[in-house]
Amino acid sequence: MNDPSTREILTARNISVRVGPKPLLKDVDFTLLKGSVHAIIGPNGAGKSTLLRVLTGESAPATGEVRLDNKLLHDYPNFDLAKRRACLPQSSSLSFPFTIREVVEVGRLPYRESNAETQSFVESSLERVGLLDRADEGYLHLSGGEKQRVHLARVLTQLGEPKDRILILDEPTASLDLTFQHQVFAIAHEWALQGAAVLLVLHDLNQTMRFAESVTVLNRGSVCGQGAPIDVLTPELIHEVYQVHAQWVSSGHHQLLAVDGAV
Amino acid sequence: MSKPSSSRARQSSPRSKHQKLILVGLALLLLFVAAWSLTSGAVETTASETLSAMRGSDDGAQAKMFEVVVREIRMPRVAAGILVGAALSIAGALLQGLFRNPLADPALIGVSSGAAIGGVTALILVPMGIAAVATSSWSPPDSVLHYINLFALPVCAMGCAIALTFAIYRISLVGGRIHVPAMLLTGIAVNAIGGAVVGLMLTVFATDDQMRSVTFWMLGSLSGSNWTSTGLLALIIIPCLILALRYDKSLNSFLLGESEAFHLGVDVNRVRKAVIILSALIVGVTVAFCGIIGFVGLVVPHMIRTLFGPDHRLLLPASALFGGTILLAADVFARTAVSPAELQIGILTSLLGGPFFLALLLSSRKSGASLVG
Repeated sequence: MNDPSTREILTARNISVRVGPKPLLKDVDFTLLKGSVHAIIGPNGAGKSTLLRVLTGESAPATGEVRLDNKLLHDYPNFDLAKRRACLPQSSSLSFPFTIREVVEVGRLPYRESNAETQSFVESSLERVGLLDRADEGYLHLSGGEKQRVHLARVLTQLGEPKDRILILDEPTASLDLTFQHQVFAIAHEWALQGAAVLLVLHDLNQTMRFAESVTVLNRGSVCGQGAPIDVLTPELIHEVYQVHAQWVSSGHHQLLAVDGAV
Repeated sequence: MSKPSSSRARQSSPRSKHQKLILVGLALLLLFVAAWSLTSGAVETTASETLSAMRGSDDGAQAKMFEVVVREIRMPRVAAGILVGAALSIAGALLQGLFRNPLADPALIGVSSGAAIGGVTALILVPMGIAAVATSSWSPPDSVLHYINLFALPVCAMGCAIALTFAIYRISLVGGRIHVPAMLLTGIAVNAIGGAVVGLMLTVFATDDQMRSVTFWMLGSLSGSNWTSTGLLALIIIPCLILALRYDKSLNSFLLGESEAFHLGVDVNRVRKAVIILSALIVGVTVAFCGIIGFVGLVVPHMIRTLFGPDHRLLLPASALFGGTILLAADVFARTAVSPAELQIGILTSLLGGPFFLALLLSSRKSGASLVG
C-alpha cells in the first residue's frame, strides 16, 4: 500500500489548455494518491480552476490525458465517473425552495436504488456535517456557510463511501467560520484515512501546510513546485509566486506563515 | 430478494405514495372540470343531455342540435384545452428548470413570439406560394396542397420556436451561469421583434380575412378548435409530454448548476438540447393552433411548487394535470362570462397572470431571495 504506484488513482500527463492563443495551462503533470490529501494552490488566475475542470473531465485539454485507475477519463460512462469522483463547488446558486434533505438526495442521482437506501446515505452524510436534525428545513433560508455544508453532505452522499473515491473540494472553507473550517478538514482527513483521494483547492498557505500531505503550486499556468508542503513552500517560492516576503515560524507543533509585506 | 430489503423497500413507499395520491387527486379534479366544461356554454345543456349527446343516442331536432354542439364544438375544445394547458405548464416547468429560474415563462422569454413569427410567416406566405403554384403550368394534386396548408403553420411555428429558444439560452448564459436579467431582456427584445414582424407581415401582405385571423391568433384562443387541429395538437404534445417526464431527475440536478449536473453524471448537453427542443415543440404547436396564451406556464408550476415542493419528479406530471384543469376553467369563464360573445382566453390569462407575476416579484423582494439577482 505504501508503494506510490499502487496508490495512484488519478494521473494527468502533459496537460495544456489554450483559449485562443493564450495558454491557460502549460505541460502540467499531476498525480493524486489514494489515502492522501493533496492541495492545489496558486494566485488568482494561475489556472487552478482550469486544471480542476480538466481533472473532473468537464473540459478536455488541448494536449495531454487524464486517467482514472489507468483508464482514460473520457472512456468512463457518465454515471460510473460520478460514482467515483465528486466535486464541491466554491458556491452554488440554487434559487428553488428545496428542503436540505432534497438537496442532499440529488447526490444519489447516479444510483439505481430504493428510497430507503438513498435515505440511509443522506442521513449519515447530514449527520457528519451536523445538519441531520435540520434535514427538513428549507434550504433557501440558510446562511452561506450552512448552504456550503449542505453541499458538502450532498457530495459525500454522491460518493457513498471513501474507499477508492476521489473527493474534490474547491476552496471549501471560503464561506465557513473557524469551527466548520476545521470540520471540513477533519472530514477530508477522515476520508483520506479510509482510502479516498482528497483534492483541495486552497488559498491559505497555513491550511495547506497543516492539512495537506502534498501540494501542487501553480503559477501562470505552469507547475512551479510539487511535493510535501514543508519542502515546496519555501520563502523563495512564496516570494516568486506571490511577491511577498514571508517565513515560517514554529508555534507548538505547527508552522505558521509570517508575512512581512509586499515588495 | 431477502426479507430485510423488501421491508426497507416498503418503508420507502410513503413518499411515492404521497406523490401518487397528489397526482390522482389532480387527475380527478381535471375530470371534474372537463365534465363541467362539456355541459356549459352559450347553449344550455344539462348533464344528462350532454351525456346522451356524447353517446348520440337521442332523436329529435333539439337532441340533434345538442349532439352537434357537444360532439363537434365542445368535445374537441375541451380536449384542446387540456392538451394546451398541460403543454404550456410543462413547457414552463421545463424552461424554468433549464434556466434555473421560476420566472422563465414561454411567452415571457420569447419562445411563444418565436413560434408566432414562424407561424405568421407560414400563414401569409404559404397561401401566396400555393396561389403562385396554381397559376403555373406545374400543378400538384390538391391533396398535397391540402397537407402543405395544414402542416406549414405548425411546422414553421415549431421550427422558429426551437431556433429562438436555443438563441435565447445562448444569450442568457454568461460565464457558464444563467444571467437572469439577460434572459428577461432577451425576452423583451424577442417579443418586440415578434410583434413587429407580425405587424409588418400583416400590413404588407395580409388580406382582411387573414388580418382578422392573425389578430385573433396573437391574442390566443381555443375557439378555433376542431377535431383536426386537436388531433394534430395531440400528435405532438402527448409524445413530448411523455418524453419530458424522463428528464425529472436531470432537471433537479440542473437547478444546482450545469457544472454540478455534469459532476453528478448528467449528460448536460443532451439534456439541454432535449429540454429546449421538447419545450419549443409543444409551445410551437400550441401557438400554431391557439395563439399566444401567456402566463399559464408561469403560474401553474409556481402553484405546484408552492403546494408540493420543487422536485421535478412530482412537478412535471402535476403541472401537466393542473395546467389542463386551469386552462379549462379559464376557458369556461371565457366562453360564458360575456355570452353570447366570447372573451379571448389569452386576454384572460394575461389579465390574471400579469398581476400574479408582479406579486411574485414583490414577494421575492420582500423575502430577500432575489429572483433576478
